[in-house]
Parts: sequence; C-alpha cells; structure tokens
Amino acid sequence: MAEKMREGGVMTAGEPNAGQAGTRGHKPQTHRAQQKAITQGLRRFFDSVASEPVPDEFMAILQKIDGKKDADA
Amino acid sequence: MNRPLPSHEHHEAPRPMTKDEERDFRNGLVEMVPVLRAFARSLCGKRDLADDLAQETLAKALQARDKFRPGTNLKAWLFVILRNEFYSNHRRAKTVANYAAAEGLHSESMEPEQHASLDLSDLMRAFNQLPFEQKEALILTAGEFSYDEAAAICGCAVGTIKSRVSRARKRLESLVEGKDGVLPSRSEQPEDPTDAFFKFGRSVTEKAHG
Repeated sequence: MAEKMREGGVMTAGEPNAGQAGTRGHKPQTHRAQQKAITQGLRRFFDSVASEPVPDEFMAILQKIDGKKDADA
Repeated sequence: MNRPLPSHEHHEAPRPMTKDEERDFRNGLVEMVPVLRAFARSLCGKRDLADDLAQETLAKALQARDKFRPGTNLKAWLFVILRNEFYSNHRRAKTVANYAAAEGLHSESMEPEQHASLDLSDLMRAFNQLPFEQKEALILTAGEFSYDEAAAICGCAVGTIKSRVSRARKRLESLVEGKDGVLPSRSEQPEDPTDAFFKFGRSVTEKAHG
C-alpha cells in the first residue's frame, strides 16, 4: 500500500498530468467540443438568470436612496 | 481587506456628478441589475442570498457614485463592488460557509428559470464544486468580459485568470463526464468557501509580489 503510494508520487512528480482525471484518453476534438459545451452551458445559466424579471426590491433601493438624497438637498 | 474600487487607481480626484451624469449613472444601474443578479447567483448559488448580495452592491454603488468616472466601464466597476461584498461577507459570516452545500447546491434556486436540459443542471452542480476564484474566472470570461477585463475585475494578472479558467474547465469536464461517482452526491460538502477566500487572498498576494 505504502509502496504503491510512493510509486504514484514518483509518477506524478515526473509527469504533471499523470493520474489527473479528465485528461486521460481524450481526443483533442472531443476535448474542444466538451470545453465549448461547458462555456456555452455556463453562459446559458448566466443568461437565464439575467432574463428573469427583476424583483421589486431592486427598484425600491434605487428609489429609497434617491429620495434620501432629495431630502438632503 | 477590500480591494479599492478601480477609480481609486486613477489620479483624478472624485468630483460630484453633474445632473446628466447622475441620470446616466442611475439608468446604467437599472440596466445592470439583471447581470448583477446573474453574477451573484453564479457565485452564491442560492437565489435569496444572491439577490441580497446584488442589492448590497447596488446600495454600495449609489453611495460611492462620485468615485465612478463617467464614460468608463460601469459593468466592470459594479462587478468589482459585488465581488468585494461577496468576499468580505464571507469573512464576516463564516456561518454561511456551507450554505451552498446544505441546501442550495441542488435546490431549485440553482436551476435556471427555464432550464433547457438535464445536462445543464449537472454542469451547474459540478460548477458549484469549484473554488470561488475559479467560478468567477469562468463566469466572467464566459461571455461578459475579456481575459484582460476579468483580470482587472479580480485584481490579478491575466495569466492567473487564464490558469484558473483552464483548471476550472478541466475539473468541470472530469466532473461532468464521470457522472458515475466523480460528481459528488448532493449530501457531500463542497470545499469550504472560507478556505477558498483565504487561498484567493494568498494567490493574489503571491502574484503581486512575484
């Protein structure tokens, strides 16, 4: 067990990518497609939140602070 | 330790906005609310916490409006405020450190409103496993900003952003592919966000001195 771990450590030290999940056996095209899908998926998530209707609280903040400023002036 | 707002790095002293500038600024804020909410949701996961964060950002931005230089990138300026709020809240409230794990991780709040496919929810579950600095690097560069802009927002070198993005993508890829066990189950805790904060602080410091 300990020997195996040591062996693994040596391999990793000699070859930075050895043993790293996700890099094994990838064809470059598959890899690129997957990376693109990840970026697009994140973008889709971001856009879906950004297209939600804005809760009223947000406008209330803008109005409240404006009101305070007018009162100060 | 909050990073100063970008305008602090310029030599011009802040001056009060003119009436027109003030109006543009306010309109700009209104326009930016949706992306602020999206950025906050990406970082926090939970809808209500994210909306609180976005609202605090808005309030801070209004208070600091004289520090904004009209004509510069309002979105980037707001994102800097948002992430400052996010990281300083994390330091203050360590009790929320595991909120993403507790219920937000796979709750409806993390799901997009009209979500397209199961794959997207797998992706977002995997995304939640990433350290915060990798999440923000990915989200910022997924469409809203260039690498240079993302680096300016995060106050780090462009190379740091690139390496975070690349590590994050690699990690996501392996998580999404290895559905049979590599992607942690809902009950498993992701990395403690507080740790991520301190790691983040260190990596910035290292870069600054390196």
